[in-house]
Amino acid sequence: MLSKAIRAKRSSCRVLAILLFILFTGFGGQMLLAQSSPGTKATWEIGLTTDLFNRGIKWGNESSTLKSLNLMLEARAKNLGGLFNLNLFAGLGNTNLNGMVFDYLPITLDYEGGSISGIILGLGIDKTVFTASSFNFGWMADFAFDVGFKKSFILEDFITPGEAQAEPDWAQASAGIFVLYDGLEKVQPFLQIAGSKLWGNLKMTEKIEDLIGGQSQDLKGAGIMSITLGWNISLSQKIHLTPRVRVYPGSKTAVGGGLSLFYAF
Amino acid sequence: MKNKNSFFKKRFFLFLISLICLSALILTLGSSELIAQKRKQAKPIIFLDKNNKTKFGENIISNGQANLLSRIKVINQLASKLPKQKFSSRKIIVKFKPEISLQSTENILKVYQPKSYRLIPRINAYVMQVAEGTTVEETLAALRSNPDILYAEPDYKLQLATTPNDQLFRYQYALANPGGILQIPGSPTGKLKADIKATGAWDYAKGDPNVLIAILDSGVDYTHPDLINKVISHGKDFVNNDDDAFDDHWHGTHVAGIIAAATNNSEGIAGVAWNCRILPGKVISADGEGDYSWLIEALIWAADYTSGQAKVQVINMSLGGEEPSQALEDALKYAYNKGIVLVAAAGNHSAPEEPTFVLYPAAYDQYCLAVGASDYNDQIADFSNYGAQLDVTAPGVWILSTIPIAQTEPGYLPYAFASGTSMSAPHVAGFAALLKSTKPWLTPADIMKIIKYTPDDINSADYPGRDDYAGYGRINTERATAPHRITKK
Repeated sequence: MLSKAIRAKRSSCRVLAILLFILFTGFGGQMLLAQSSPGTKATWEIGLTTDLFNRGIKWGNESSTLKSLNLMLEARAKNLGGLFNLNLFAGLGNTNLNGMVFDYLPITLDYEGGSISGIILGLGIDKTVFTASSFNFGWMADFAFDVGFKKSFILEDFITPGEAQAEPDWAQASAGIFVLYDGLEKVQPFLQIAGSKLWGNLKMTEKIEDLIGGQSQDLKGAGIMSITLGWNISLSQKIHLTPRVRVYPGSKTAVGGGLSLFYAF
Repeated sequence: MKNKNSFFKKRFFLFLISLICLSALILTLGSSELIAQKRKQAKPIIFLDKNNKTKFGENIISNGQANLLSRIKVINQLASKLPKQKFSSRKIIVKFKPEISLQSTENILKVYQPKSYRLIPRINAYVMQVAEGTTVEETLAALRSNPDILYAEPDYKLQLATTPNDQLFRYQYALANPGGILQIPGSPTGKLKADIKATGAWDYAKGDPNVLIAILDSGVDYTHPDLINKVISHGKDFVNNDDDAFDDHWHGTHVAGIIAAATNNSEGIAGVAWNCRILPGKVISADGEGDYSWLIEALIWAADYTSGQAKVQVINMSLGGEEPSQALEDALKYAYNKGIVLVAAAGNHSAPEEPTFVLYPAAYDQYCLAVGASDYNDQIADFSNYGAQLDVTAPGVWILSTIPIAQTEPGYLPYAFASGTSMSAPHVAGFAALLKSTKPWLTPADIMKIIKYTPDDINSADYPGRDDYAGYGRINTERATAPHRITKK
């Protein structure tokens, strides 16, 4: 189980490295293009995003839902190097993995302890490939990972109170296509359909006197797809809002969504 | 014509004979079915309802018999009597220093002219019968003065940990105590849930047939209807030195029923470890006595026993002796190191104003769980030995279980009520088997800790936490097997 967790972390690192490579390539391209054609300079936006991440997960032979209420700062570079748009985000995540059972521990634990805070980091890129009438078609990819803090719980009902510690980690990588309609003046609805992979684990340790056990419960997404419907709403020249609804269909379908407020400069 | 007549006569005669035979057959079958029905109706049945609460008597009442309780024997023989001698008058256990070769050890032993000797494998100790005309004490003194010998000790006597009684109980309150007045003579009031919470545990663990519980005792009546499908082999008899551990006492069969009687079969009693199986080892004679050497050999044998996928994971010892023994400790260590959970009775000789102590092997704290007895009110039984090595308690007063059919008196059922820490230990052994079945990766140390840290502290008002009288408390199988919910608070 430990090796699975290590593998998951390694995979996260690889995906992150690839995205960073793309990012730096983008920056490099941007710089080159800026030298050759000053008109292609990227525009930057910063914003605040609140997001309810909600996705069906599988662990062992069971399934439940991973919920995470995230509050993030987001930076967005549009038309970076004339190649693509880039999103970077970082913030606080609150991962809730209620319902996970740890039956490898000496005393089986059923986790109903609610949210565990952590740090969420990620980035995304998208690029319009072609335009037909007012419809823009393109591709997108994003990656996010959450590193949870340890959270302690008192184990009551035993001869002496024990302690359990929970620590979640998870990551998600998605890649797919989108269509954006820019025929309206202030609203641009868009639809994304992506293949999406989620993996992670919840580590649990228990200690009652000298009875000590630990288990890392690996988890993965219950499906392989995400569908996002959103709207870019221009509130003013520099401020705009992006509400979105996201569905992860699969053996345990879950619906989430978020709201972002951006300021362009 | 004559021929034709004789032909018809013959046919009529044959037809008549066939008719008679057929009638006889029908009558025979009918009567045997009636007998079978009668037998079935008269079967000793203790029903289990869907909550696994025992209900006695329905079948008997329908059979026109007034009271099933009158057909359940009460063990009132003094099975826990103190042995007449503290140790065997003819046998000694001796172990040589590791640097002495096997050939040399035998040569040295022969110097003492033993009547016989045999090696206990794995722990490399000898059981020797002293020479004619010499006493155990003399031989021991001579052996102990030999620098090649690591230890030499008497072959102490074992005693069964059962207290006599003369009352009946109506329920297996130990598994699920309904509380209120228990419908037995004397009508004592039982405390609701003063039990091991077996019904709660069975939702999560019913045991694995490959988890064997070795019962080192007086043997087991493996023909008993509640045990016949639960005993993996006829075991080994260390008393008579053969491969048939049939119970000629009653104690081992009673212990076996508590641990793993066939359960949820609409018949008899429920065992703690539903699906686990039993391996009997006979170390107690028909008189209720045994020698340490038999127990030591049985421990080694049980620890090494395998049958296909099945192996011994738990050993129950509802017996004990007053003296420590290095060889016994070595044997316990051997079994423990093979991943086996060892459970033993604390003993039944507690008396007011008299010093008491936990018997051996239970007192070997590192390797063995020492079990004391509690009652239907979660009170510590007055006979239950106590001391620093006591780990937990389990119900041990008026426990209903199986007894050998051969020892069932006419008109009685092959079940009996008995009391003692002997009856407490098998509850813990069954509990350990349930844990081992659901989590086979746990070590004996883990299982011992789980059993110790999950009980109900029944004497917390006077002695909160672990104490010498109840140990950590009365075992709670549900708390150890059911998932423990972690909540926000």
